[in-house]
Amino acid sequence: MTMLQIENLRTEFETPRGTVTAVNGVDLHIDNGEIVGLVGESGSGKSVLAQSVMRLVEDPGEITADELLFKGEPLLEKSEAEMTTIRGNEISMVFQDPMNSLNPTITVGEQIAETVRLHQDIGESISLPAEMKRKIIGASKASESWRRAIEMLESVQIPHPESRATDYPHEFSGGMRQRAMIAIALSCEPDLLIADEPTTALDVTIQAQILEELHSILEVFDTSILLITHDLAVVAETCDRVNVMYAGEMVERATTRELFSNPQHPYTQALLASTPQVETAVEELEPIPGTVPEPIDIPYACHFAPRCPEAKEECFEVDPAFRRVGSEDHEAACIRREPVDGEVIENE
Amino acid sequence: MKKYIAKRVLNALFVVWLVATVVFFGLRAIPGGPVRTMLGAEATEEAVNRMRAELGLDQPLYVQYVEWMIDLVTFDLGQSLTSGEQISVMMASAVPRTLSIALIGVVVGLGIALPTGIISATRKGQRSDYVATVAAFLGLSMPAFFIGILLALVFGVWWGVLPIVGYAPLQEDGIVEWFRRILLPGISVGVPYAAVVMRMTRSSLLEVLDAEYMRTAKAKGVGRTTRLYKHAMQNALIPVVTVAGIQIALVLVGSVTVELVFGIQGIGRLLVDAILDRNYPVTQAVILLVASIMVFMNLSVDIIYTFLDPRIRYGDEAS
Amino acid sequence: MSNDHTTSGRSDSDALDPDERERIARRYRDESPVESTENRGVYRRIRDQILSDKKAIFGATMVLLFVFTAMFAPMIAPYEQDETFGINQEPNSYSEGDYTGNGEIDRVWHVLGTDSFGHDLFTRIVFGARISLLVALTTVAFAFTVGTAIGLIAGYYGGLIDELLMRYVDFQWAFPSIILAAGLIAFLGGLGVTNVVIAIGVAFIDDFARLVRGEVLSIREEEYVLAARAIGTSDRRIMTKEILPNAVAPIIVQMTLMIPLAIIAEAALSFLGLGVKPTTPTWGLLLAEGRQYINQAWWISVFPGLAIMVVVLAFNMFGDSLRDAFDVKQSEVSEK
Repeated sequence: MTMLQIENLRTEFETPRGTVTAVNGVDLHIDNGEIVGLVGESGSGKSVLAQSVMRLVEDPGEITADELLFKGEPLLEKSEAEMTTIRGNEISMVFQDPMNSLNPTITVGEQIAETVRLHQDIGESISLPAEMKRKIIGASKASESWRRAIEMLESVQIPHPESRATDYPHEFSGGMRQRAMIAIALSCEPDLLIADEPTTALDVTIQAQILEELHSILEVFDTSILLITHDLAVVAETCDRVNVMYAGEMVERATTRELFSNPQHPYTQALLASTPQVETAVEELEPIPGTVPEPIDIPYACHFAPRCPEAKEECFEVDPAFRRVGSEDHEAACIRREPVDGEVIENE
Repeated sequence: MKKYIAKRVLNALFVVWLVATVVFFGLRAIPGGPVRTMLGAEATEEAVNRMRAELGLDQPLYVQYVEWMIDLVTFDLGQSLTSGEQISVMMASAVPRTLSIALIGVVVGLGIALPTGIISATRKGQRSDYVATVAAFLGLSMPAFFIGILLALVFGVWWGVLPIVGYAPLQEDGIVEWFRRILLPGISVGVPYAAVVMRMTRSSLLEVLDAEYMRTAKAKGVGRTTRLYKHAMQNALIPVVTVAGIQIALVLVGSVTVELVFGIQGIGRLLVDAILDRNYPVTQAVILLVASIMVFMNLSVDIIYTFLDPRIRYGDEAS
Repeated sequence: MSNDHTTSGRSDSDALDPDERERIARRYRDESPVESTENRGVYRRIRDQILSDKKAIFGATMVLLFVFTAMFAPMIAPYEQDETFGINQEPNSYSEGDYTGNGEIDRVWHVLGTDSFGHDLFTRIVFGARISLLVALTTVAFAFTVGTAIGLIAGYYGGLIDELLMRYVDFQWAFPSIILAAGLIAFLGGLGVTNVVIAIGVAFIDDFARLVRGEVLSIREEEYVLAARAIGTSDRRIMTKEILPNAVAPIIVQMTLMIPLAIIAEAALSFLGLGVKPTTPTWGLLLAEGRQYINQAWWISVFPGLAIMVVVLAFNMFGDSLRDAFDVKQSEVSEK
């Protein structure tokens, strides 16, 4: 079954300087139990896409889509109250910056316990007065939600979880905070976990541990994961399939193996050429010249054209539709690639 | 935490001592000497010497200083030069008046500022935010004594519903009369205070609402109201408490001028009269008192902080 | 179609070279309605932001009007500042009498009425703008000079000097500005503009000292300052050429927001009778006089009060817009 099905999703922000189209007609799907990677430089719109899925985009953001189906249900048609019951429960999210993503004035244990109380019927009041009381005089250590919070801390490998639960985030190290974030996200055994650059702010050794954590989650909780990163090494290690995004648009998608062995879109190729691998010497790395354009009314058809070594005039004029360029649903959006089956996939 | 508070208390005591010392030397450093300035140029040498002896100014400096410190610790503030009254007695009558005005001012101020600040921040860019912001600008731009005069004019002179001169002690005249006489002065000092605190509440809350942990809370499925009060408010209040505490100064300053508007014999009136009469003992006593109140307010802010910000509670001040 | 991704396409004969690509991309960009924002200078951005801010335009206009009024007071005011007519005349009324001394009865119009001495209120308010502006500018200049010096030295050298100077600032914090100013007036003994300027100026020193020290502490460790120190630039030069220019934005904002505070402080001191000499036309003294005659002549206090309000509001609005444009945090500058 399909966990998440996105078709032609657009997220736009009305600003004084014009409409920022952060996500511009993107398709994406995630199957049950899959880890799907979403790769792109900063500014490519991948975080906005992730937040659009959970409808976390704040004013003046505007999300539209032909389809935004979660377990077959259209998320854009849900009321805000319905979304509140889905967020943190069926879909949850781990953010990039563990330093600022936890509330500095609430204990780590309470931040996990709160999520449990919100979504699981364990007979604890979640009314505002009850929550304020917990905040001011502390949550009851005997409560079910607190017990679960400690369990969660334990399952993300926090030592001494009973005493650590009463700590404030500033008493945790960066890696531990990210584990706590993961504990919050997993506390209600979500069907879909969106991890937005979960390892970027961490040391390399901690990164590896966190990635391992994500892997074991998949096994234990049977959760699908959308892993957002700019780090191709992380993708290679973790994901089943990969989607590459550039300036608000999807440019290539394939299985991880296919993408790394046979990249087709010039952007993907450039991205791989600029990423250090064990066998490449540093001198051979080729940075991509130029920068990602600001997504305000980009006037030319292929957004990568100005930086693309293969660009020709046509690239600026003709919309690059997706086409099959290899095995196993390998598709790229580039008019310079001949479709292997001779067909151009119409989108929009 | 105890260590932190102890440190703050010591610091506060140090500042009070410093103020007392500066006031002591300041008085003695008045160009031409305080007694000569007080009595005027035509006073006889004899009169000047008598006055100097009366004030203890003829003794060696260190003796004067030690005596001054002992007097302070025992709350023996000396006598007024003009009336001969004990300064501590004058204070005992003036302080409740000023504190009553300040109390109403702070209550009115916070009562207006916090709700409007919250509404304004949560409805940023909407009409209610616009109205509140403009109102805060106006409040910020009116000196307390002008607000006092306007209120006196409207409620006292034109409508005649509230008295505009004098004070009614709580114990003697009861709470209703006390309140009737203290309400207008209280509002006068409360409005500029409300404006400052409201602006801080708004900007601080806006910043917090934008914080990443607020996005986390939303992503967890926390509802809007709980997000606002449980997740945002405490963080937003941290800078507000600082401003609300420090700006008690604004209320006290306002009170000094407003006491003149409403003919109330508070410490502001006491200070102004003392300065105009060159009544130095009273002047220095009032200044010392106000400074002590300020130091005490700052100390309170520091202590409230330890309850609001867990980062301080655990001893590291590295924020 | 080449599968070798490191070289693919480059050999393609019809691919554009980088210059051509850039040319075409630019052609497209030029046709797009949104102008590129990358090349706009920071000053242009600030100017544009201020010009597009209604609050700033209103504030600046009123501030200019105020400065203009103060500068050309004798030309704007209908009468001499000490001329007296009928006392406590209502707004929009006339005094009748021989005011020119030519033996004829003159009919003199008072748009805002007259005060209890018979001064034309509008004339007094116009001349009062002079004292307000003079005191505001000199006190802020004074506090800025001394406060910035203290903040720079304390922040830059740190250690004992910092400790001492900041103790002083702490100490000053114990005094609400007007109380400190009143105390200084008592110390200086006597009324007059100079004493008012010294008293308020001293009371405002700590705001600048605190602000500048904070800026210095954050800028001091920046690489360009470390670099300047490494090549042996003198401390004084580093402070004035490297650090101060980078702290300019919050300082300008602070100055703009201190001017209205100085205006209020001057009015308050005059209102208390601790300011300028009682014969000088100032808004604070008019308010005090108006309070005395509140039952007979409301206009004596209301109009000068409105004058203070409008001018202070104008400066606050302008300062607030400047702060937004310079992107200075509200908590960074102080509003007493």
